[in-house]
Amino acid sequence: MGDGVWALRRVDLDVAPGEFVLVTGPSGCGKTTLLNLLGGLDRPTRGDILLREVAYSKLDESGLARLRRRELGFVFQFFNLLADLTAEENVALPMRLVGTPRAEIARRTAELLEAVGMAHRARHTPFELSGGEQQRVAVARALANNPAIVLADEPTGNLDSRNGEEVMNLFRRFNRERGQAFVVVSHDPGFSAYADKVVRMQDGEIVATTAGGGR
Amino acid sequence: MLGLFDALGRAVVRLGRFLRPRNLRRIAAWLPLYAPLAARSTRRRLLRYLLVGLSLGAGITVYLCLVASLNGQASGLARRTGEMELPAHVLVFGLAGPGSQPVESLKWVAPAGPYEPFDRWRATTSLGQRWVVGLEPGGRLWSDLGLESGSLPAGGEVLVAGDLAQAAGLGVGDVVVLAGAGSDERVILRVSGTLDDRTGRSALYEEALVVALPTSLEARARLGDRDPRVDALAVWERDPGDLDRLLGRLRELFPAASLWWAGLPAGQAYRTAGGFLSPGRVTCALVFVLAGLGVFNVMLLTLLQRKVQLGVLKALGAEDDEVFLLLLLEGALTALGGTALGLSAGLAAVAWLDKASAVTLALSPSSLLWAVILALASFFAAAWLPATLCRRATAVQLMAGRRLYLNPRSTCAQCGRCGGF
Repeated sequence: MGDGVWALRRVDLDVAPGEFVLVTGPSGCGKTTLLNLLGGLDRPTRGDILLREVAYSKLDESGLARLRRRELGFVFQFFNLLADLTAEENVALPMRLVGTPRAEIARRTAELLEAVGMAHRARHTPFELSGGEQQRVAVARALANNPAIVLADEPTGNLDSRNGEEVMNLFRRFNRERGQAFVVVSHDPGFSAYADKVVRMQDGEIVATTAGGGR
Repeated sequence: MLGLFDALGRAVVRLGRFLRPRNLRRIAAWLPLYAPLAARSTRRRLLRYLLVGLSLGAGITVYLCLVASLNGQASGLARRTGEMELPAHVLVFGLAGPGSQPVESLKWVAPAGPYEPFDRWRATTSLGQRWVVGLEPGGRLWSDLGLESGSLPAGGEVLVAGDLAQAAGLGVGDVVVLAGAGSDERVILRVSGTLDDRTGRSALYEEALVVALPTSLEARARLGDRDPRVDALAVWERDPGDLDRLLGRLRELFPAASLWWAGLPAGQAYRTAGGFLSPGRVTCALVFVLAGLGVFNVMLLTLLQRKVQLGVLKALGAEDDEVFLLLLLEGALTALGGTALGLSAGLAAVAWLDKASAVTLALSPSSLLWAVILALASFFAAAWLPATLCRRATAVQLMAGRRLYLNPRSTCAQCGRCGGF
């Protein structure tokens, strides 16, 4: 293994409940890989990830899937809303996956869309929404099951600066109001103003951990 | 070949595991979520899934036409036998002569009922040109003979149709003479009784002389105007206890004839597989391989274009089996539609061809059932691979649009020269 290519090495990261962590670094430094590992989408060749004392290595694929349903929320760079579903159906999907009662789904979907300012576009499909609107729906979807931690991979990478700011403001607002931890990957160090902690990566390693602006 | 059987065996075991009660309960729990999703997705890709349905529909239509044509040969034989106006449930086959069919063709009518040997030939008699009918003593036809007077004929005896006996002034104990066409040979038969003409089996018995089968064969041999050689005899659905005795007797009577009965390996295989093993039907079933290829192409294209969406679904927490079920459900909806379409089109095509062409076509309920089974089996076989590819791929692989391999951890996947899917 010593001569192999390491995507990540000697990474040791703690995310406290309600903490807002920004992971920055140049392209190819391992940010997305780190996020995939935290999200249980990939498995590390060595080491482990613990979420509320649950070790990922102890879970099989089904266990990881159940963990993702209940404890994790995802926001992607390309929004990745399901094209066959409307905005409200996209938000409702994670709740349907965990078997939330219909009435509760309807109530929480409306509440979340309202919170991200997309209630008026609830019946629209992703094709009928702008990039900023899609990302706001994606944020609502990520929060649907009240996850312990929201993982966002370059959430502003495909948005203009105004929409990017809006999305980061949404993250910060939900982080404060709901006490959910956020791990946001971005190559833009300017967003460190939103974070409690800024993790800088280079060549698959964490090279610096500093306090963010926390605004 | 062994590898193929091995793979098939493992697939069956896996299917068995997949269909365990616990899994079935899980699937039942998933259905309310995934069935509407599948329906929505199918609606949005209507044209593409329509192709899936049409592939299966076309497969069923062609299959039904081919099978109907094969069945048509059988009904042709049945019709020819029917001209003898025998009881509908009895199909008779046996002796060589004009109009007799090769015994192999019997398999197409095997489900229609039992067979028993009999003989029928035209003879010059003291009562004019008459049919001589030789029946197997104790056989079904023999037992069904309606006697007007006297008794059933023993060796050297004859049963005469009632009207014919009355017109000729014949009674029990009188004599009927059979003459050879080109010889002075004579066969003298004593009348044992008369036949009730009102039994309704006129074409076979009307103005006929009914004798025991050995008497008929002996008379033909002596008179020499017909070839008494027996090519083949088929015995079907006899009482098993009675079969050995019957087979022994037939061997004694017809030593040169090939003997067919339900216990022959071919007959056993035919019974077990319900006719599927017959080459004609296997050829027909190959139509579904072509239909399956069509289904496979469309399903693969559709699924591979949705890699990212399926990856997102997994990232959100859908389990691998759930994604697999979703994909199969999507395809199954159109497969069912295509099957219904194919059945309708197939029935219409068969009805039209039967009327418009000289070929006789006939469909049995089992043909329709087989068409449905084969269509759905070919669909699942064709959809299994694309759905399995998506099931086995990780969310990251799917979202990144990476090439998919059936076994992502295999050396083939590491090599990647084949390009994967």
